[in-house]
Amino acid sequence: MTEDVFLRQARHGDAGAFAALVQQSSGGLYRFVRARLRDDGAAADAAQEAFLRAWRAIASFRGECSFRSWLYRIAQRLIIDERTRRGRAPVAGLDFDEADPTAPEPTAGLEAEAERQDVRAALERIAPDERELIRLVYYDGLSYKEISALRGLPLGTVKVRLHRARARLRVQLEEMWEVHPA
Amino acid sequence: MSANDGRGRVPRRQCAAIAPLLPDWDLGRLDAGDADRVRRHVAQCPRCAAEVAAWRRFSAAVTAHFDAARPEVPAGLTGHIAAAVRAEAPGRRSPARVAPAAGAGWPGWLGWVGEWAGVLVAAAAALAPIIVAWAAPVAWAAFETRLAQSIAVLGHRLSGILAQAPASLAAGGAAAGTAVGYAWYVLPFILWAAVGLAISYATVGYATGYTIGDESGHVT
Repeated sequence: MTEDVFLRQARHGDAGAFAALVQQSSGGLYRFVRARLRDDGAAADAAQEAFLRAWRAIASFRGECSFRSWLYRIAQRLIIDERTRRGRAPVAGLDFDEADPTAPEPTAGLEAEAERQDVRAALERIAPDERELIRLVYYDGLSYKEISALRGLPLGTVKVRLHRARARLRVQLEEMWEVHPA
Repeated sequence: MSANDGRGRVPRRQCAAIAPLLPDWDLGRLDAGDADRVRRHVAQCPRCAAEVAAWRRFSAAVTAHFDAARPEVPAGLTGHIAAAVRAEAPGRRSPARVAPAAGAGWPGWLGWVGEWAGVLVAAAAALAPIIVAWAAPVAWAAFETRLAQSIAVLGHRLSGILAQAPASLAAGGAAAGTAVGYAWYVLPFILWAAVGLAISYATVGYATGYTIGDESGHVT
């Protein structure tokens, strides 16, 4: 069955249909939250809370955006609340730095690891909101429409900002590649 | 449409229009029409083909960076969340009013109004013709009665005034005759004003229950 069918049934109180939506979206949502909270336990809790809030409010979901955008918006609020609670002021909603001390150990070769470090350093050199846009596309795999709904920005604005962010990141990256040619 | 100028070169203005689409084309994020436009342009334009290669390297590096940072989803998380959802399910029929979503925008009570506004408007629209059809004849009949009463009372008083005026003025001679002539000249305006006054009285009387001419203060 498609997501639309599950959504329609869930809106009529069918917990089983909503569980199917959980099955579809929980991995992506967990990674979305985990990347921004940098804590496994907090990410699991926030993911569960986001789904529970979505479930309680599913009857009010009118389908103006995708279920994923709507769910991620709920999670985004939880992330901001959690970061505020931790005393870390959010920048442009969802700031993150690339130096993640809890990131998994690299398993690729030295060359791939060197390129990863270049990307990490280049990401650090662009503005936080541009970094977040890059992450929403290349890490979370959201469509531009979904980003538009998630960030509350017009679709055209998302495209323009993303184009600018990509261009800046590419300039930074190519400078590093000149220094460390592959 | 050929992008080539016939000498193997593509005008730069075409490249400027295509350039912003190149990274998305490489990622397969363009719609079919734009994707086809870019594909045909890139096939003939060495500059943009080189740009596509550069964007491809960029995307590969950024994607590899994020892929390596992508954490494993804890085993059992999905089942745990689904169980928590099912645990909330019994007796839950109106979730939107119980707890609106964070970031959903409207406060709970406003969400309730918004949810029922359509029903209320539809009910009002359905009932309005019935109410008008029932109330309008009753209201109009009452208004007509008041209007007739008001015109009768004012007409009686006006005729008394006009009947006395020629007799009292006749004794005054020619000047009085001129005054009577003047009075008859302005009579249409007086009547017009009287009718307006009668309608006003009738309206006020209808609204307040007071009947003109009933000096006892009796309110009907």
